[in-house]
Amino acid sequence: MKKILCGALGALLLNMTAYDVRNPALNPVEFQMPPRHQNLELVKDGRLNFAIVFDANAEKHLRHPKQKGIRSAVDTLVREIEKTTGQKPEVFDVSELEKAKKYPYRLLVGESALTKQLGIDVSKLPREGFVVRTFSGGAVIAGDDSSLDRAFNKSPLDHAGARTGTLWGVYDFLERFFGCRYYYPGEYGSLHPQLKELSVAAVAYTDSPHFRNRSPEWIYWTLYDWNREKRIVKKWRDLIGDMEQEDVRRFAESWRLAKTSPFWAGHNPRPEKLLAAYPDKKETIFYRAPNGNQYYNGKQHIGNYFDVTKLEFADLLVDSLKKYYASNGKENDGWECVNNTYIPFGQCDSEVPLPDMISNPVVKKENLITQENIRRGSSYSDIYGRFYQYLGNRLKKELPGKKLVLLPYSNYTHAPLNPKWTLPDNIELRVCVSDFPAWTRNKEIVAKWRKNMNEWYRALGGRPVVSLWLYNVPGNPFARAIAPQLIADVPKILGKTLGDVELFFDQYGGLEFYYYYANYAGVRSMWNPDFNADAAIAEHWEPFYGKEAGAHLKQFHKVLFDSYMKYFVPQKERNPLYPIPVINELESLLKKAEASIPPDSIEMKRFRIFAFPWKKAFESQRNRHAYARPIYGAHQLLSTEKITVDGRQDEVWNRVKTMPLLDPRGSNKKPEYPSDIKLAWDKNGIYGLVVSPYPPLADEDKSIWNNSNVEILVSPGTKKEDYFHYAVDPFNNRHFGTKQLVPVDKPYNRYWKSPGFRSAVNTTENGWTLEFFIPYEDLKVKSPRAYDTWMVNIVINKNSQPKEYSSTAMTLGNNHNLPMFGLLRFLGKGE
Amino acid sequence: MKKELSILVAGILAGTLCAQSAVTVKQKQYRGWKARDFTYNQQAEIVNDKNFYQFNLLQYQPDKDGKMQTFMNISAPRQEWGFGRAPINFLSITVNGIRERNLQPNEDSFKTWTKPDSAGVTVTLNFDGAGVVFDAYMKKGSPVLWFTFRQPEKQLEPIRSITIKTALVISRLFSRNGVTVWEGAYNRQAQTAARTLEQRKAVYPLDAGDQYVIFSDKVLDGSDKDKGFGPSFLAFGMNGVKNASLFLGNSWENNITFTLNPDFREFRFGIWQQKNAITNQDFMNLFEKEKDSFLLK
Repeated sequence: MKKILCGALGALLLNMTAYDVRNPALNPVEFQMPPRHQNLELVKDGRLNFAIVFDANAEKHLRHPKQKGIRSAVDTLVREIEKTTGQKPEVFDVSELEKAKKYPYRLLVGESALTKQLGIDVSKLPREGFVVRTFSGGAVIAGDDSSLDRAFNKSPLDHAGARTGTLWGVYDFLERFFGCRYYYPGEYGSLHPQLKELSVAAVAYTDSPHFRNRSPEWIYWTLYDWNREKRIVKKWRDLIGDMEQEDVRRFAESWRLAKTSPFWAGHNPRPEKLLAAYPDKKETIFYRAPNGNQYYNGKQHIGNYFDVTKLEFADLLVDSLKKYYASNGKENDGWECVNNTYIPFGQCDSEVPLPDMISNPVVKKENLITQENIRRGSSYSDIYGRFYQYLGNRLKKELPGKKLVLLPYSNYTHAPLNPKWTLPDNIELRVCVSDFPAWTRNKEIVAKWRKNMNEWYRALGGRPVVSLWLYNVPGNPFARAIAPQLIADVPKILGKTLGDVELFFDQYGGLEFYYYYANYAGVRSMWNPDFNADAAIAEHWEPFYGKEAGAHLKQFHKVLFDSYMKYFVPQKERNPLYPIPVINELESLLKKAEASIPPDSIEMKRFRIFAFPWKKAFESQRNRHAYARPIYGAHQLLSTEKITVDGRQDEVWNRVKTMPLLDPRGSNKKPEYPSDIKLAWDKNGIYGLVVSPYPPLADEDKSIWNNSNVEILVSPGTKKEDYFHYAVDPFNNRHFGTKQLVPVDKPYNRYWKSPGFRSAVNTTENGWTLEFFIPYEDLKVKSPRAYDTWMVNIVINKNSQPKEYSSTAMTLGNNHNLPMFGLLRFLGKGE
Repeated sequence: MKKELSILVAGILAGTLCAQSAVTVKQKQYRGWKARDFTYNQQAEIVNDKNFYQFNLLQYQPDKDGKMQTFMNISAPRQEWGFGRAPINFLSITVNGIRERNLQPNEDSFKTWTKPDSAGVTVTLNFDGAGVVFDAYMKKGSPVLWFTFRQPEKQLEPIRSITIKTALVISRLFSRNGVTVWEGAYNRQAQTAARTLEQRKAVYPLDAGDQYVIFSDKVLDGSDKDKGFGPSFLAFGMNGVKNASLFLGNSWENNITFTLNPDFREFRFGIWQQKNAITNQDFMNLFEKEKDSFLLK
């Protein structure tokens, strides 16, 4: 059986030598009139008939090897060809051409005197473009390489990424003629068909990327964690194997990821650093609502909000930027990625709720929030329009030639409504489009974003938005396995309103390589939106997993895709339920695929990576189908029972039952570090006890969210009208918040106060105990009667290692998912 | 479904015959209609050689609005009409204004027991500190399911008011063109130890002389498959009872409400129905023949 399988695989791989130069699974390159010559027998009877020739002096002026794009292209060609043929091609400098002629053919890599003699002028290629052209003596692979440009990045504030057109040409050549494919990093993530024969017909084509920036960061953030530790994190070591950073970098290259433009947009500058530079300007920098709430958080980014209603804040930013440029970037008040081309400014990653903004005197005077603003769902667009206009004009005057990059986000993703706030021509935008690529096939959502982008196009004076911030779908494997492959839809939907700088795809988590097929198609679509994602995914199943398993997995993917279109796309929930028969079918296909793969084969290793998320995903869907919201009875305190909120367990707690904890994401996994949670009530409020007998993460310099903490979310009654949010950490730092859902869904209000809330902690090295009291008065409700029902979710965030996240309700990882909260019954006396 | 039930009944009766005239009880979960919808599910299956009952204490899982409901019903000897008609939940208890439907039963609420001449279940309910305990049981030689209510020895809250309501659908309901007729089509009647009662809008006060109520319908007399199941029966005592009233309306549902004295010590009643239909006359014959086993002693 094993022999038959090997034979079949061998035949399959040999078949791949018969390449299809117009393979629809590859980038749709631009073919030119092919030269006239005989086929090039590059590999004959298993022997290499060619040498690689390049100009070794062309990049001699560069000190660091990584800067040498052509050299890197040569090394890639040698390394990958050796993997497919078992032989290492010889490499010669152009000065050694005669020596190279011992081979019938030469591959000329990168610009050199030889390529020029053949009439190839790489300076005429688009940015990062390349040309592949055969001639009777071999083939040229040459591209637009910044390594040949001696003026490239001369100024320390240029910040441009290297252009490596030749390297991209080499990868195209390897894919198109040698059949190589690169799906994920590590030993098993790529395909290298074993070639004994390769005859290349005369061909000429060019190609270049559509988007200038194709961000490689997610690969590094995923594999090395956000802290950029030196070693690959254990999860991925176990799944795809350990590897050096250099291997990871090479993989990112194989996906042709690069950032050649110094463009960047994000939350900028860092609020704490800006305040440190202007300590007496706190009132200018941070928004203070008319009710006195100031949106400043010294411990972390979230919770800060720049005051964009104050034009003097824009003046302060201009002052800070002038210092920055005058000092060549050395005097930096918290700016990131400010360079000779772009000045990115972005509000902090926080929100100010409407009630705190609408009565602001400037907002009222300038009529910046109208009913139409609110109706559009982007209430603050005119507040930002006014601020952007002023800041843009000031920078145009003070720092001419620089472009201001802005990040329309949250409740200001729309263009200004009032035509008064047109934007000057030194402004470029990265608009946050939360619905793409997930809902690119939903007509209603597409129409909404088309309209929005058209409005921006007009506000920019007929210029496109150069970049978008796109988002993956958090917490939903069924969507994460599909949505990235729909990235190509985005430029097609938005047409002229979208420019060509970058589609920044926020993975909303990590780049999960077990969904490599979708992400592979996604990044390739950033190179060329006409990339045929379906063909690219379809072609890989059989060579990657074997004929039988490949067929099952191809069907698995089809069911997944069809279900996505049927159950995800037409609605707006991030994590909808799929019918059980669909789950059963997917599970069955996975089992069939596994059964048809030899246990110790490479294909089985690949299968394990592929299958990694699905067991839990199926389990979660089934648990959700079967989910009955847990019911917890809170003990009613008798007149003889008393709880003192002091962090120590009163005797009465011994008579109170513990609330069961579960995995909020919906798996069957029981918490390994369960806390003991108990609730009691009397006519004044709810008492709680949480005992966590494990060392907490308790660092006074960290925010409440980064320490271990307990979150209590409670919604009076069962009508889901509103809920109240409390959080406490081992230092008794507290957070209060609330959200109203009816009659109007209002933004979460993190500035709500609960003056009667009491909490006390008893924290030791070995654990911590929290006691708390929530008065009904603070929730604006009367005392409940016995047997009334409320909704509750108590979350334990154990942020010490090993981290664990558990809660009393299956909220699918969204602690605020009110419909999934458990039920709290106020028990009668003596129960 | 009917076939399965018949086999169950046959098995139970066979078991019962083998056990001679002993009364047995088995605590398990209700497995019938909507069984998956209950978050609290306890059943006592009580059997003797005369009859068998399944008495259930159930609580619905919360609906999408988080609402739950606790209730008691009987699912055997039959779940059709009589006291077993599901929407009726034949036994309602209201204490100090709190209805049983709002209660939160727990693992101590439902405990079965067996004695030499009887077996059943003790149900302990807590109405916010005011406890009510009752036994539902069968006695050797009697086809009736008896209920005895009492107060626990210690109360956290005194009982200030208590009513116990038993409801039933007499014989069956009419339907016309597939639509149930709820009112205006019936010919209800009742027989007590002291009098014959005709259907009317106003309630009948009951007293100690009445002793029992035989519920029947003049038309739906159990004589054919279109004529329903025939009579149901309820015996009661007036110990602890402040007042009792019978609603015998031209209606789908009829009931008896007992208002107890807040300091009642014990209150008893019993219900009877059987699996198979029985005509009005046949029941009267049976009742006369085995009267002692139907009445409170």
